[in-house]
Amino acid sequence: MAQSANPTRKLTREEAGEMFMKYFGFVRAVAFEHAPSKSLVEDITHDAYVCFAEKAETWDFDEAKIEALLRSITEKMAHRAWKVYLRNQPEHLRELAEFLKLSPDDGTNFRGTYDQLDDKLAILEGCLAKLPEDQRAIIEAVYLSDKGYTEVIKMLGKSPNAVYQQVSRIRAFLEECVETMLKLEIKS
Amino acid sequence: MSDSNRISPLLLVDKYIQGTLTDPQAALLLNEVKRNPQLLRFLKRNLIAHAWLEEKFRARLAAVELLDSSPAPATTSASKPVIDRIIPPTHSDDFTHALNADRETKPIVCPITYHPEEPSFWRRLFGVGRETSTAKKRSRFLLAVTHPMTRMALIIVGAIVTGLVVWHVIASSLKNTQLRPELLASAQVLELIDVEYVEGQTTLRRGQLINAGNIAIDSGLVKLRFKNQAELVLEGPADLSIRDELTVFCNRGRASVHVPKSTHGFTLATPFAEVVDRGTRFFAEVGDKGIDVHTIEGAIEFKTSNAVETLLAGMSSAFDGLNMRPPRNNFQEDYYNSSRFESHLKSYVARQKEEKQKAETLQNTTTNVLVRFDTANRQKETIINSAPGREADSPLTIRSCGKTEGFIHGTEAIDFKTGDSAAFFELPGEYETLTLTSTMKLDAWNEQGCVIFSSEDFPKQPGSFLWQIQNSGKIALFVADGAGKSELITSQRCLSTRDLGGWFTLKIIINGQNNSVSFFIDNKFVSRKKWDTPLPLTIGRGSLGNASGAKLNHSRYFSGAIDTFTIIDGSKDK
Repeated sequence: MAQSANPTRKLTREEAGEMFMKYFGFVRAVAFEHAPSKSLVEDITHDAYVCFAEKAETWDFDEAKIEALLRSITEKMAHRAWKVYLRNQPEHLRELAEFLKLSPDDGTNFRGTYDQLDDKLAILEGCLAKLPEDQRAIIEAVYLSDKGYTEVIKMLGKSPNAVYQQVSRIRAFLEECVETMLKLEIKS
Repeated sequence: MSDSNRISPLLLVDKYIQGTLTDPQAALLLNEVKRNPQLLRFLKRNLIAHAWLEEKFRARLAAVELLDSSPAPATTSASKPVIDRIIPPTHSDDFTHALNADRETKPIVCPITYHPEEPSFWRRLFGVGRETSTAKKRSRFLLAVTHPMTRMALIIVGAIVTGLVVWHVIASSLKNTQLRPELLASAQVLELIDVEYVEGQTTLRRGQLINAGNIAIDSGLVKLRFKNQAELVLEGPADLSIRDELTVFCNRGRASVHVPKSTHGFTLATPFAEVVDRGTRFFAEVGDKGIDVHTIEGAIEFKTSNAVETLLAGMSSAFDGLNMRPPRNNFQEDYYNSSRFESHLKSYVARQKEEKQKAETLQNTTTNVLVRFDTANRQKETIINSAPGREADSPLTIRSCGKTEGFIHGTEAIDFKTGDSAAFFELPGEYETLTLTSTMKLDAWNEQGCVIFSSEDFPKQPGSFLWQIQNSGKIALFVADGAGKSELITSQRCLSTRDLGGWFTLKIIINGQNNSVSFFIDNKFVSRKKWDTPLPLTIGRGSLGNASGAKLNHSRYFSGAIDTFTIIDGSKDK
């Protein structure tokens, strides 16, 4: 990380707000990576803002280190959210969630550089285009048109179980496709 | 397990993704992933892809609404970047005003401080470089009105406005060191009636503020009020996601919606169709087979994949995913019209009061209640002590507090509004073990925490103590040793910003017999910590809602409301 030429200083609340907004996308990407449930991303981002704004007036602030600071705050908020999330889960769901989180990194753990989220979403678009038309229609019906499984089941005329399994397979394919394309991009 | 009952692991994976996996099924899936690394990898891939697809869906929906939104005041907040929903509290009202203003034509009020070449504060903040062509247009506009008399009048008006703004900012910054989440919330939970939640779903609290999130209930009624004053009553079984103050997604359930005339574009989206308000009251029922919708007042737009119909008052229609039933004129009584809802609420409140009375009777017979202050017994600025046999004791004297709705609908609670707000009572004596319980609602975090209760002369008097909520969401107990130090005992984090605005009950057991302090929230155990140097506890002239003594603390007061407060002498259980 480049050394800042600016001396450290304390931020006012207003400046802290401006600073947070500037790095909002970054904070959100960190929250996205670490959130126990994606519905908590906004809450975690909000909690990170509250923590940052509260403490900004007491810190000696160095903008060169802001990303590290915000990452640390956001990861801490996500960790707290994780604990609360787990506390509310029944016993086996809790065990399963913990097992998934702590399982060894086999390339599918929720890690990545935080600025890759937008890249991945862009590549996802390309991977969606690679799907056969019927599979693309299924995923779009489930995710992108609010029609949900009911519509998909009607569309396919299959049993619900068969549809759920097909959607799971398509998702797995998309993830593998994105990761492969990302690695190729990085290499090139 | 027979073949017919065996659930495919792939199905379990999908159920986990959808959040519909039950706990027994979770046990099955856990066993499967532990013994099958390929299935584990498959599950994790699905989780990641699901998150990406949802994020993509969110972004695409926002983009579509942005294209659809009219140029004049911003419609759905989903069309605003998500960045707009998280704003510094001190700027919230200014943000809303600035975002809704027509930037192209609105003249700048204060030409003295206006510099045409300098981007406005709002534009700098969002990094939106509205270009100098706009600035040039503005400067031309100003030049066009620079007749000497007009200029003088503008200068005078500008000076007055600047003075008012500066005064407001200074006054706000002096009194407001709080973080108030109601500025950021999309909706508030008004009532919860006999709600049973879907397993694994977070429970709601009455009064709780919600920014965005999911409500999944098996039964009962939830009444929400949105920031734009729209109200929605949801009947379980139901699954509802709040996107923002103008958009909800109902996967299933019955929803009765009332949107005031001042609000436009409130949208109830479902898997089958969208219902868009045009100044109305309507009712929708979403099931596996489709959606039924009835307009009670005003008009709605009923949008499906292949048709859009406007339904006026008294009309209804339905859509099963393929075919829309032609709109017909049949008056359907609003399933949750106000009188019907009130009737449900009345019977629920009666049951709540009965349960509270039973709990108090049981407490009276099994424990030694020293103090019970219930706002139901408030008479002007005092509340008598309703602990049995202690009615002649010192009452609770309330100072500089307001009134607000209590935990039970239709009751009152003490509203601690400012740093001068406090309530006092006398309780002499020393105690080995005390249990303090309070039902409360916290509206904002204060800089140094929010004091619930403080003994007299804390921290000078040995055994005096202070009970407060920390900004970290932990509950803290300070016990003074009388030699200038206090022992701090804290719970695990049990509150967050999401809990603000909602009613909850905190209990703390300070146990000198086994040297421990136990913390509870809503009768659920949170944590227990060791109390290293137990002392006989003293209260003396205790205070609620602020640190005790002559000097009230203006940055540590309880910013919220207290409904009931009880102290039990734990060393003398009956």
